[in-house]
Amino acid sequence: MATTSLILAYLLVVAIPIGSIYVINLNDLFGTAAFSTILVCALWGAIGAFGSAYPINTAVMQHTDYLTTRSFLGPIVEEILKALIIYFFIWQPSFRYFVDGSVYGFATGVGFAVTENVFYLTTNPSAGLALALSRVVSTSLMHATTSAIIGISLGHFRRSHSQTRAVWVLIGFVPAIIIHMIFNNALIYITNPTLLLLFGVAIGIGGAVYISFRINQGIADEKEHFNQTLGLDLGVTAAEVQAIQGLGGERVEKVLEQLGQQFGEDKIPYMRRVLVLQANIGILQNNLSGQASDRLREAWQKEITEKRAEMDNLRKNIGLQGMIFMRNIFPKETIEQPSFQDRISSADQSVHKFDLFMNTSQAVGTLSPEELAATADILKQIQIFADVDLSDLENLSRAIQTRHFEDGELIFDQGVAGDEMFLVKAGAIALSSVNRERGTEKLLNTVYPGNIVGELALLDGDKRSARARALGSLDVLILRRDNLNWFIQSRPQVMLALLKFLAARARHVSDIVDMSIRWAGDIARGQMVETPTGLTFAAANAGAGQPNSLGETGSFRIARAVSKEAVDSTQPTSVVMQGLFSNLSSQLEQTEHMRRDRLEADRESQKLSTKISGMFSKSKMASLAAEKPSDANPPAAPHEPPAKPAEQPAADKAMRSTSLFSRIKLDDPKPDDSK
Amino acid sequence: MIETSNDTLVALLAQSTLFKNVATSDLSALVSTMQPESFAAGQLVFRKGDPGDKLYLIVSGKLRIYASDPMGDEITLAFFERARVFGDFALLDEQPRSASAEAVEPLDVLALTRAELVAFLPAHPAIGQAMLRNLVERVRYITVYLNHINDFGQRLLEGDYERALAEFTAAQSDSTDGQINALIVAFGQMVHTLRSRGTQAKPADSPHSPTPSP
Repeated sequence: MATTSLILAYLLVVAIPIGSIYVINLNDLFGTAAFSTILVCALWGAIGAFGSAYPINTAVMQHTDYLTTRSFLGPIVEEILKALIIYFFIWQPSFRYFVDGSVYGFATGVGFAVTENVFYLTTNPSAGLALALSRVVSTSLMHATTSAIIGISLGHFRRSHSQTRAVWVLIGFVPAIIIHMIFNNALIYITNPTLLLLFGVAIGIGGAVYISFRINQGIADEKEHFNQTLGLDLGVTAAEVQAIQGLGGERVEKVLEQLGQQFGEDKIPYMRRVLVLQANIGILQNNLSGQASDRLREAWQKEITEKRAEMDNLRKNIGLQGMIFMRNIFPKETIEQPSFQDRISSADQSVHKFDLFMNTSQAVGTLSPEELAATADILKQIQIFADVDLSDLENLSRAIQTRHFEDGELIFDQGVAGDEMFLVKAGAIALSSVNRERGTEKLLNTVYPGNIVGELALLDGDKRSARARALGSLDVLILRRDNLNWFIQSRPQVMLALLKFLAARARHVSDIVDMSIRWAGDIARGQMVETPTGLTFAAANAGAGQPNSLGETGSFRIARAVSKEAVDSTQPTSVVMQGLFSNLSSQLEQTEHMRRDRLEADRESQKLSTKISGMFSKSKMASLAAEKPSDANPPAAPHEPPAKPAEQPAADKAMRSTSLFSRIKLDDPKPDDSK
Repeated sequence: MIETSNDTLVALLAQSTLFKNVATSDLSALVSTMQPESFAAGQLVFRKGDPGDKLYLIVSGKLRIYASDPMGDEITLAFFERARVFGDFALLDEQPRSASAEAVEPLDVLALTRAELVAFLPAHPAIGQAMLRNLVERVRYITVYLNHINDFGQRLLEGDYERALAEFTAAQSDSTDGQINALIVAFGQMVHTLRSRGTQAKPADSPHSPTPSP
């Protein structure tokens, strides 16, 4: 061979390992194998394995013959020697995913081939370039393939949980050695370079096919194992489900731990996320197989797409092998099982537990798709849900139940913890305040269709602040707290909408407190109060304290009329507080008038009595000179406080409606015995 | 920025109405997403009407909240110091600032933007649930007192000052909240005013007889 050709050949010999390792790295096919390990494997192949194979084969040749060695014993020796490094590494803590075995094997084989090819080239300088090149390539392919086959078998053996796992080792060595034998024989008989190359390529392809078959098998083994860990294989009788339930979270942690052992502990957070995404995709697929409106289906479909995209993104963090693994041990059929979804949900709150429950429970009073859409529209009108998407509301409506109450029937009682929200569809709810000591029930408010009762109870399940009875034939929609909780825990956008509502409400009542402080302060200083509504409560509240024929008090009539807020109906709205302070202010005003009038009356009566006594004393002095003073001096008219005509019945009790001057007349003085 | 340990910051945050009873691990994670900011004395933090998309935790320094009264004069509404969380409602209800704020002493804060909260919640739903619970509790708490105030007020309108005051004193001992206490104090003063005026305006128990002078 010409020198240039020889150089070319040598270049190829070196290029092959470098190039192939580069390509594998590019495609993220390393798995969890460390580069340093791969390098060591390649070096062992090139130096250690070849270095020991040579003298051993030589010795064997001396005891048998060239052909036997070449075709039968040599391959056995070489494969075993190559495999030694793989065997060493599978027992290291750095060995994780079983597929790494094939990567170790590949590197060892490629390394071995380098030295063998160099050896060939130096001992056959007269070979044609074409033949030399094809020989170099096909030898590399062969060695890489056989060692990779042994590698995957050793890896599988290492990770397998079955009792008969030693069989895997055998199953690896046998085809590898056979391929090697065939190739060695072929080398003797095939002299056509193209044919030789094709033969090498065929081995490579065949090997790759076999290896991927083995990988799938290994993954299938793992799948069964993980299913067991998750408890998916367990039966679904009630007792068994109970037993599993409590340990769901633990099981998932165990799965993640084992995954971490395979792919690296640093991957665990990402793999946890993958499990959650898988569970949610499964749940959403189950949703879609049920009845739902187009709008809702579209929303679900969109979410599935988003979650799939996120999973693809996580491949960067977990690695291709890891993702393939997870996708295969938890395939579509598995993730669509409620048991899988349930297990993952006990480990992470982002799983759509609400939907899982809806899909698996035989909920009474389920609404049709049209009714769901209609209910969503109704819910949207309520303040607490004003910022929630319609498709989310429609989903939530799957948990809505309908109920009917007869007139007067008790819906819930005051003081009892409650966690349902009621929306009136037809009829009305009468809310009353119960006084248990006196045994009275005082009507506070009436709730009409489109309005709700118990929106705060829906959020905190606290004691009801009033008693609710049906007014007329009542139909309600009911939403339960636990359903809403499940719904929001996996849907942050809904959580934020509710937080927005509550923050606004908290701000609102806080403002009422601030206003009340100001008004109370104003009245304390004797100033009048100006309320923003501008209603003249003095007039409007005639009879404010007295309930009307329906038993409603005036201030609450106003509250209902003015306020469009769908409030927890026993809350004082700002209007009510304004009413209160206006009334108090009016009372202050009246007491002011009364006080002034009284002061004036005092002054007047003082003047009058001075006048009277003056008059009396003059005549007295005159009569004293003339007569004996009478004993029975009738007292002067009793002083009575002046009072303005009552503007408010509430102030009535504090006032009399007599005026001083109706009792005492200047031109008709009280009996003056001086006359 | 004065170096404050993460634990201290978490403890400060845990005192606020919005974040009380949240798991320390969640709060710790939240604190690490918050940004420290510093303001010099006299520097404006935000103006009334500004978009309210940030929550602040005061780490050190003093802040003045102020607004303009109808006359156009500036009135100070409050002073806030270390451990105070403010802007929390604005962060959640996305309303513009209802007042302005400036640092009166050099001020160090931790800020949380709405975007950060939105990104944070999906991974920590427990914080969202705690916030929900805390807000509901606050609304109920204030509502209960407003109801009391309304009841007391009705007593006053009926002229039953004694009963109003008696129930009042009981209510005062219940409350630990500054704002509610301020309300109760103001209400108490109001009751006294109304009562004394009412007594002055009330008729005397027996007719008042002017003594005829001899």
